[in-house]
Amino acid sequence: MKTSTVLISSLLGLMFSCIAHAQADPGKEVIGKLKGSIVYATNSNESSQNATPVSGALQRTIVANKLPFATYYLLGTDRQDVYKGYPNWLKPMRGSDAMMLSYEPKQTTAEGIKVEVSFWQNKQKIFSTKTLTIKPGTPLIFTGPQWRNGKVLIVLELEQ
Amino acid sequence: MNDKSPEELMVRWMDGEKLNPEELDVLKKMHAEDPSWAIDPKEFAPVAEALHTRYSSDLEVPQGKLFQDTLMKRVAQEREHEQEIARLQEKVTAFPQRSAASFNWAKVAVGMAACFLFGILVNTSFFKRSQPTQSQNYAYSAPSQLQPVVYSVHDNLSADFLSVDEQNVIVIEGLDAIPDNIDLFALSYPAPPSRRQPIKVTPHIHYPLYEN
Repeated sequence: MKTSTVLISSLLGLMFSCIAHAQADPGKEVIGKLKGSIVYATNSNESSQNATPVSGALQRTIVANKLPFATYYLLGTDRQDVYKGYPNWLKPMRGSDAMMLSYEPKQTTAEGIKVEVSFWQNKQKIFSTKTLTIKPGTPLIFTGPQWRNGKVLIVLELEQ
Repeated sequence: MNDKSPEELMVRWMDGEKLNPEELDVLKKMHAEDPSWAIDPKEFAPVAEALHTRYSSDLEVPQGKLFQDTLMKRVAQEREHEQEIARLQEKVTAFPQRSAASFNWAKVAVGMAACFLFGILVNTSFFKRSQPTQSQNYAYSAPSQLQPVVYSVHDNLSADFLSVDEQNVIVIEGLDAIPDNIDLFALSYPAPPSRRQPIKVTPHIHYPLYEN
């Protein structure tokens, strides 16, 4: 009886210590939330039943930077936490691994978060960026691969 | 013999010899310092008599003190000689081991230095032409930038900021085009209610870009 009590208390102690250790990990602190989007930019009049025009900060950034396309369709969006010490994934095209993003925070500044971003196509890394600062309200846009009559844009936004 | 030595004085006292007052004072001091000296000489009287009857003084070694000193000196010399021989033997036996050990270390150090130099030479000059350079491995393009914007294993990839001031649009050129028969709209999310299940690329479509 005593042996089982000691064993159970030891296991509980071990479990609580593991939980305490996990809670104490400063790398798991959430320092922000990133939104990753895949946008189809085109000058043609093609449209689809699923096509959703872009809006908000992304639209303003597109206009401000005078991107040379007439129409922008949102193909997919994913939102994920930014952990202080861990990389994380964004999978805007939920139905496939065709295009994915990984990001690793490097530093938090007053302006935003400095991250290194990698773009993946079908689980193959295509490119990685140097450390870039993503500011809230100012999306970071990558002009990606050609598709049909336009280009695929990869968009990263830091949500407040 | 030196009659003034404490041991000799003790022997004379034990033999029952009459001592002068000074010698008695020395004995008293000895008794005071070490109680084990306080022996009753009467106890040893039979032994002393027996020894005197068996050994006559004629058989004593003449000039015993000199003999003893000489003997002790020889013993000390022998001991010193033996110690010196032992030290020499130790040095002789230790020398080859030390020299061998130092020789091994020298070999290791020389080998490491040679490998280090060889590695430097290999990296710098010998295979410089066949060694892929950073630009070959990691294609990047930043004509207006000193630092690259994007790193990639694809040779034909280039990247640059659309506007150096804003730095929020990065133009990447050289990516393989997505085949037109892939319907990205169909893969888009959120899907309409009729297509909530994940849609994958149909297997009959040849898509070399996504094949590893």
